[in-house]
Amino acid sequence: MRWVAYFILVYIAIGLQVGLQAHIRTDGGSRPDLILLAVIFIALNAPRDQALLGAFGIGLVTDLVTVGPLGLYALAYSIVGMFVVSAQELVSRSHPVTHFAVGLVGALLAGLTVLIHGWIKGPGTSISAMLGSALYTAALAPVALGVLQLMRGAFAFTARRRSGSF
Amino acid sequence: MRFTEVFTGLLLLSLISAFFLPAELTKSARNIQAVFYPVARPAGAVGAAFAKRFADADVPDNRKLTDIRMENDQLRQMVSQLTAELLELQQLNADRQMVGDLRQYCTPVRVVGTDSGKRESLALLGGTGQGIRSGQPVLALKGLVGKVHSAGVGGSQVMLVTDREFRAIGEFRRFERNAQSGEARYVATGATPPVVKGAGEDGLMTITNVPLKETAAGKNDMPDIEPVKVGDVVVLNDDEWPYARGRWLGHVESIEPNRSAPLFAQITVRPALNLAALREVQVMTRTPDDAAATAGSVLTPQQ
Repeated sequence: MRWVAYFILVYIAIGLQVGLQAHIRTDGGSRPDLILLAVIFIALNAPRDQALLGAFGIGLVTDLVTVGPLGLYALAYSIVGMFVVSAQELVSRSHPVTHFAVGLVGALLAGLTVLIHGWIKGPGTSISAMLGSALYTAALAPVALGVLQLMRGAFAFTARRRSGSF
Repeated sequence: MRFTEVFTGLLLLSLISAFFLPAELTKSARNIQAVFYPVARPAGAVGAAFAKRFADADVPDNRKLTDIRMENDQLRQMVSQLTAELLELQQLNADRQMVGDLRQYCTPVRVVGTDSGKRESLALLGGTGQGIRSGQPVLALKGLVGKVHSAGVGGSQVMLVTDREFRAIGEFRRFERNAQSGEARYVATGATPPVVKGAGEDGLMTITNVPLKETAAGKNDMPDIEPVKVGDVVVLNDDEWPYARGRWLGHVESIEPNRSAPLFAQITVRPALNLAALREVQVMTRTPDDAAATAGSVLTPQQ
């Protein structure tokens, strides 16, 4: 994978999330996770090791621009990365239904990690907002991932090697 | 070392940092907000343009135009009267008192955007280089925005008053006009000092420690106390925020019986402005004590 393209993607995804979030959230507080879509894109296409490291890196940078604890999104997005990597061989990477399904499950996994952290360490978060955010993210996934798939050439993903489960 | 072992180690480190380490340990290393400004700012401007085009109007003001004009006139008179009283006190008192707007103690800072996760916070373009430090109050046109959560060389993060971790003691107030004399004044409503807590994702605040009987939604058997009503202003009145006391937190949006404690009210407070959409805030980087130390005289916190 071309790491320069990766870092540009991370920069743009986090910049868009930070800049747009206030204006695209719903009245109930649900907001899409644009950064997660970048994680899913990397995890869907990159070889296993690079995908997992990439997911962790995106989460770590996200932690630097939030008031939450350092490591929370690194953990959450790594879990999402692990899930998507394990499903790489089973799904069609460019199909919109795949994007929606992976987006939904990924958002639920990330949201669940944040929710559990809120229950254990506080402050708590709303389950309904988490579910709403997951649906919102999943709804945007076919569009965002579809566009990113068209640009996958810039990332020069190498052919995936068969590997054991993580 | 195999990649699996490295990745497992990274996951464990994340788990320990997120679930076990105190957040204060990692605050100083986490401020790179300014880096994302070139993307966040234009994206925010586009988002704001679309939101303005398609969103509903701001909180409707159903008052008659004549009432608004009359209230404005009353407020101008009140400001004029208070200014005169303030000048008189200054002459009587040997010590200098805090005058003017708190803005003289504030540094204007551009907002990069909001929290990258699910919390209620703002990323600021300014950091320690502009004198911003953790814990400083952050103000905007109509009131309190929050407090600085962390500050570094690359930017700072502000925890909003609507974040679930925010807590402060407030006071209910209502602008009233005496029907006979026409005199306008702010009166305190309720008796129990409300503890204002951020509600989280929906951008609101809640108060759950005020007895229902002190509100208009309950049976008011306390004739000396003006019940809290929808529309009342909630202002900051917390000893931990001595210099921002009196700043607006928001308006009471709804009052209902608390389901888990029926004798208490569940009061929802809406911030006075859309905090997440702010483009610039005022960070109180100096206090009147700092100014006094520089000027060589003693000042007291605002009452």
